[in-house]
Amino acid sequence: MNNSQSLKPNFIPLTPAVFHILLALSEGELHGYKIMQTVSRNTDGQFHMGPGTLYGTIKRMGAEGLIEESEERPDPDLDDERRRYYRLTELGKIVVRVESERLERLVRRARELRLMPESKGET
Amino acid sequence: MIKDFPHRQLDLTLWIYRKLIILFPIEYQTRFEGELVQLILTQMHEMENDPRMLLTRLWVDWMPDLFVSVIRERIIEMENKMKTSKFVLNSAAFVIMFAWLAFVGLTEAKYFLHLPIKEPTYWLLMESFTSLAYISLTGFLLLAPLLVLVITISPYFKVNLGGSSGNLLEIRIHRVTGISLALIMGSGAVTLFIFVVFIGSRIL
Repeated sequence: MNNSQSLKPNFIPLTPAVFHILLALSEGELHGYKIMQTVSRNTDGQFHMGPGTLYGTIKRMGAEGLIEESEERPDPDLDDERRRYYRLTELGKIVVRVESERLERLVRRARELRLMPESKGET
Repeated sequence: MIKDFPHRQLDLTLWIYRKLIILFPIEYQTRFEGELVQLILTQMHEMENDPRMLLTRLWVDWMPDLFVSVIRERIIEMENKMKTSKFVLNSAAFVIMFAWLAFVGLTEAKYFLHLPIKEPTYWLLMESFTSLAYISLTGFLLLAPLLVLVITISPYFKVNLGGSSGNLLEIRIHRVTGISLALIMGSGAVTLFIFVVFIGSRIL
């Protein structure tokens, strides 16, 4: 079965916060503050997420099985024990890919309608 | 004292932030309190050369985010409780609606079908036929269907408060089926009828 068809319908489209967190965690296991920094970097500082929103979203994403807490700590000696690291689950990887494909289709359509310039790689 | 200005303010802000974490639902607090504090401390450490900027970020960005998050988490907590108590709410709605229908039905039957039964209002209030009891009964007759409508439909509302979806306030209604749908349709129709009759009688 196609992955996008097997997903629960309420996953797609993702909210911006969920998509950005999934995208950030695609780079590897990260703790909360690093997720915030990565999201800010990925969006050139255009998407801000405060700590309350971040952890609320993380809580719901964990409950939906999109992310999970990592048991291993990258460097336990240098790290504060209150810090928790998060990583994508297999479902999370599928969901972020399906959502990226959906967004890509929209961008492609916008290009066809000449709402934005052709990318350099396209002919 | 002037030299200490931003640092004292920062300590105070951190103290306030930590105290305000108690506003979150207990599950959120237990799980994330340590991480929230750690995150703020990391931010303070990284911006220690620019305490004024840090202070601005804490008050302009993170404090409002905390309040919005508290409201959002409380709404979600309430929604989850409502979901688990949907059966209880439906049962309560059913009992209220049944009592209302029984009372109205018996009253109408007595006057239009001339059934040999006691006046339901007297039967219900008996000797305590005080103005308060009568007003309460009238209020119940007017508002019971609306109450049933509200308690039946409330678990199906999904309120999303700012931040994660991009909209400031988003309200969705989930698909309603089964007994809830019947109760909503029935109580909605009766409520509409009552208000049309009530408003109509005032106008004419």
